[in-house]
Formats: sequence, C-alpha cells, structure tokens
Amino acid sequence: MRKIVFSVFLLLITFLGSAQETQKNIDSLLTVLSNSKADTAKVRLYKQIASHYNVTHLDSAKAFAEEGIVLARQLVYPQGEWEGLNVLGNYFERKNDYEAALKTYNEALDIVKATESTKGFAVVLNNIATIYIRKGEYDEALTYMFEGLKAEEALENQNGIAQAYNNIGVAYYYIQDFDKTTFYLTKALEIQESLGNFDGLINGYNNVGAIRIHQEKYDEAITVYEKALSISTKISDRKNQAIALSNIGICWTMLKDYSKSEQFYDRSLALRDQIGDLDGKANSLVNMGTLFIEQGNFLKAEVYLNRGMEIANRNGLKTIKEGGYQGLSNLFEAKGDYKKSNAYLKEYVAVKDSILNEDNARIIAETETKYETEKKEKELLEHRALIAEKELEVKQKNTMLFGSLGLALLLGLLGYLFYSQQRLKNRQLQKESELKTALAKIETQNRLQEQRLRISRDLHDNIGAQLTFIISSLDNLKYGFKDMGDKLSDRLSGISGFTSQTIYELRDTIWAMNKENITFEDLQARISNFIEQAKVASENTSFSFKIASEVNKEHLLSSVEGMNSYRIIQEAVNNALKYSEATTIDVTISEKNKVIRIAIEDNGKGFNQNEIVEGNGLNNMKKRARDLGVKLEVTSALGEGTAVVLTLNK
Amino acid sequence: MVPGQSIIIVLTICLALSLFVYFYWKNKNLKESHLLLLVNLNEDVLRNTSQIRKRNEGLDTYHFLKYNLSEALIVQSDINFS
Repeated sequence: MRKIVFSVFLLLITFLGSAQETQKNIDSLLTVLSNSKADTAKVRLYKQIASHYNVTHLDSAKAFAEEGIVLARQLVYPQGEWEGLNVLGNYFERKNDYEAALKTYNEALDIVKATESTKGFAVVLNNIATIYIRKGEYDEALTYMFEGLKAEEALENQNGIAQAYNNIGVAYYYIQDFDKTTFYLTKALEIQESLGNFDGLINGYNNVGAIRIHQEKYDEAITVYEKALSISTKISDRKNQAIALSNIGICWTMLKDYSKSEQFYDRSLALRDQIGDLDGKANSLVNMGTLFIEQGNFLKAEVYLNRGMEIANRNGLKTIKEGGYQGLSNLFEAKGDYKKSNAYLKEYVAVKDSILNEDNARIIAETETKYETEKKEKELLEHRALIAEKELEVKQKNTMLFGSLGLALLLGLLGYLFYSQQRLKNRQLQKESELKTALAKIETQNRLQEQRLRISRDLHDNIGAQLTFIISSLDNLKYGFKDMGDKLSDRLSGISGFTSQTIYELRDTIWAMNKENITFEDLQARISNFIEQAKVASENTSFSFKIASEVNKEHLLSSVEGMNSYRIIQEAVNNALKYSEATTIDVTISEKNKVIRIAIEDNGKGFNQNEIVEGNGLNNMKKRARDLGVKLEVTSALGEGTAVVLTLNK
Repeated sequence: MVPGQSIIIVLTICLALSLFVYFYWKNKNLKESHLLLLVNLNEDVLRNTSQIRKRNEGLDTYHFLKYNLSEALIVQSDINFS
C-alpha cells in the first residue's frame, strides 16, 4: 500500500510541477527579458521566468507573473493573459493560499472560455481540480477533472487524457473507492503503454494488482499482473518478469488452482536462478512450500520451506524468514507436531516483531530523513532566495550609485559650463564697459570742444566784426574830417590801435580757450619763426635764439602759458628794436630745478628804471606775467642794455 | 553590468554631449555678438579721436603773427551732436 501511496504522490507531484529551468537558463532568460521590447514574446518570457521562480524563488515569481499579465492586457493578448494567471495561480497554490489560487484560476478560466481555447480549458480545469483535492473537496475536484478530461479528449491529446485519468484515479483513492481508483489508473496506464511510455508502468500495474488482491479480486489482479508481465517481457526486464510471475502464482494459490500456481512459481524460480536473485528465489521457495502445504504434500513442502529458509538465514532476509517460519509452523500443525509448530510460531512472532520494529525504526528514520531533507531543501531555497534578493539589492544599489554618479556628473558639468559661460560674459561686459566708458569720455570731450568751438566762432564772427567796424569807422572819421585837430586825430588813432589790439587779444583768447596744450617744441618753432621775421625786418640788428639742451622739448605748456610767454618775448623784442638801438638781441631759454627761465637781453642804450614811465608794452608784459602767476624781471641801466627775464615753474 | 546601468551610462554621455554642444553654440553666439559690439564701439572711439585730432591740427595752424583764427577753428563734419 505504501508503494501505491508513494507512486500516487509521485504522479501527482509530476502533474503539478511545471518544467523547471536551470539557473543558467533563467539567467539567459532574464538577460533576454531586459533587452526585449514590449511584445507577446516578452509576455511568454515573463511566464517562463515566473514558472521557474515558482519552484526556486517563490517570492520573485509573483512579480514576474503580474508583470506578464499587465503587459498581456496592454497588448490585448488573451493567451498570454490566461497563461500568466495560471502561473500566478500556481504561485498562490504553493503559498497554500487556496482561495487566491482559485480566484486566479477562475479568472484564467473566464479568458479561456471567452477565447474558446480547448488546451487552456483543460490545463486550467486540472489546476482548479488540484486545488479542490488539496482542500479535501474531492467531489468538486472530480467535477472539474471530468470537464478537463472532456477537453483533453476533444483535443485528442493522449498524454493529457492519461494525465486526467491518473488524476481522477488519485481523487478516487482519497475517497477510498478502490474500484474506481484501479479502473482509472489502469486506463491511464494503458494509454501510457500504447504511447510507449514504459517508465513506471510496471510499478503502476503492480500497485493496481496489489489493490485488487487487497480487495480479494484475484482474477482482476491476475489480468493486471499479466500486463506487468507483458511489459517486463517486452523490455527484457527479467527481475520484474519473475515478480509478476510470482504475483500471478499467489493469485492462483488464492483461487485454489494449485497446478497453475506451481507452474508460475516454477517459471519465476527459474528466472530468479538465472539472474541470481537470491531474495526472489527464497521468496519463491517459501511460496512453493506454502502451496505444497495447501496441497497436503508435506514432504515437498518441508523441503521447499527449508531451502527457502536456508537462503533467507544465510542472507539475513527477515521478510522471507517471517513467511518461512509461518509456513513451517502451519506445516507442523498440519502434521500434528504441535511442539515444533509452536516453536516455529514463536520464531515467526519474534521475526515479525523484529521486522515490525525494524520497519518502525526505518519509517521513523525515513521520516526524519525526509523531514531533515525537506528542512534542508527549504533552508536551501530560503538561502537561495536570500542570495537572489541580496543580489537584486546590490544591483539596485549599484544602479542607484550609477544613477547618482551620472546625475552628479551632469550637474557638475552643467555648473562648470554655466560658470565658464558666466566668466566669459563677465569678461565681455568688462571689455564693453571699458570701451563704452572711453567712448563716453571722448564723446563728452568732443562735444565740449565742439560747443566751445561754435561759441568761439560766434565770438570771433560777431565781436570781431563789430570791432573791425569800429576801426573802419574811426578811420573814416579821420579821413572824413581832415580839419580836425592833431590832438583829436591822435586820440582817434589811439582808439583805433587799442581796438585792433583788442581784436588780436580776442583772437588769442579764443585760440587759447580752444587749444588745451602746446608743446615746448611748438613754442620754440613759433619763437624761431618770429625771430626770423624780426631779422628780415631789422637788418642792422643781429639776433640769436638759444635753447639749453637740458630743456625738455616734450614738456607741455598750457595754451595760455605758451601764448603769454610768446607775447612777452614778442613785446620784449619789439621794445628792444623800437627803443634800445641795440645791435644784438639774445633770446635764451634754460631750465634749472624744474624752473624754465626765458631771458630776452639786448646791448642797447638801456634806461634808468627809476626815471622811466612805463608804457603799454611793459605793462602788457607785466599783466600777462601776473595772469600766468609767474615772475617777470626787467633789469636795465643806462648804456648797459636791458634784460627781461621770465621764470616759469614746471 | 546590468542593462539599467548601461542605459544610465549611455544617457549620461548623451546628455553631457548635448550640454557641451548647446553651450559651445551659445558661447559662439555670445562671442560673435560681443565682437560686433566691440568693433562698433572702437569705430565710434576712433571717429571721435580722429575728430579731436583734426580739430587740434586746425588749432595748431593758428599763427600768432597772422591771427588766422578763422582758418584754425575747424568745425567737425563727421559727428552730429544733437
């Protein structure tokens, strides 16, 4: 019976488990997923990955399944949607959340119905049925399983049909309906046989046979064992052939057909001899001993039982010994030797207890091992899930780090670029500002000059014209009134001369007002020019004009300084020519301690400074010197010439 | 390297290049307009300088003996002060 339970669970787990991908495959799937665009292929990838994680990392499965469902809905891809829901249902089932699993499977079922997908119908129905089995609601499970079976039959999918039969058999097993269990399991096994899927078939038939013997349906058990025999013969599995033959022999013994039973035991024994299966041989010998007891052939029975016991004792086969001691006890009981019978009975009980103890110990050990294994597997899964989570966390952290670095880099770059642009703008503004200031300055200067010039021209044109008119009028008066007295005529001439002088001074003033500076070199040229003209005008007088080498010719004088200096020199030279009767006139310019000294000296008759009345010329010179704020010295003595010295501070 | 990181790197490089190109273009425009302004300002300064020099040259021709002031006072013609 344990074999049946184990087999049933094995098949159930096989049915429930989806195809597991290896870790390598899943990595490549994840890579493909990250690079693929949002299309139906991506939906299928999500489903595959979620299916894998349903087995390895349960917590990751849900997210992938849900992503796939969302994408399938966006793409209006019903197949992808129900497949995703199906995988999500698997997830809830594994989490033992059966209500959520049922809800999800039903959503998938609605889509499958709407799209009339028979394949999907069969798959989802089987999954729903599985949930009901897990919940212990077997009737509900069977309803869905039969619907699933119909869908598989419509598809003519033999594998699916066999699977459905198997599951139905399992459901009946749980509700202790062994007839239906064996019926559906046998149907499933027959289809598997016709498809050539021999793996597990022999065990499957043996399990069905065991159920039939348990039900004392020996004919049906023989039929099933004969199928196992046929398959084991087909695949030349002599050990299983011998088992099947032995099982059939047991059935014939139970049916009291001892000759047939003996034939099958003989064939089984021969095969076990051939393959050296001592365990099986001992079993067959004990079975034959039991058979001969049933037939009343005690002699033969004792021989076979002893042979079987000998092998069992030699090889420590307790199960065989148990059967052997029981057979010997029965044999001696039948022979009337109760003492021996009782002794073998005691041995039988002892071995049985020992087996029971061993069985119990083995079951406990197996259970412990199973528990430990499951615990370790669970720990392993948890560990792997933890590693995967940590890896994911590290990847997320790395991505965050990359993102932050990228952002910082971009912000830094942006800052640098803004800074450099601002610096460029500042430099440009500075240059522009400097140039604009210079322009404003020079424009202002130009504007002032222009205004001054226009005023000057107006002054010159108006006042100059009026003064000229006065001179002309005075001249007309002089010539028009020839009989006027000399005094009046001199007086008019004086006014005319004064007016002419006013015009010259007006012009000089206007010039000086407009001209800001005059270089010493320019002044020197103008004085030289004047001296040259004086030479031409007065041939008897020799002139000399000297400038000391230490005088800086680049030195700038204000136009007023330059003009007044010139006028003083002009006046002094004119006075010398007019009054001193000098033969030499020297003009010298020297510089000492930043003081420019201009001296006009003649060798004329000179004058007594205490006696002479100062005329216009001398007063003009003094007035100009005063205007300039400089010192003018006039030194003269009778017969010793005259010296006019002007000192200018630099 | 996970795909997310590759995307971040590519995106960062693209954005950095875009910023470089944008600022290069912007600075180029700034330099061009600044140069044009400088040229115009320099021309104005030169025009004013030239006018002042011309006026000073005229004033230099004033002869203290001939009193040719009318000739020396040259009114500018290039710049119109309103």
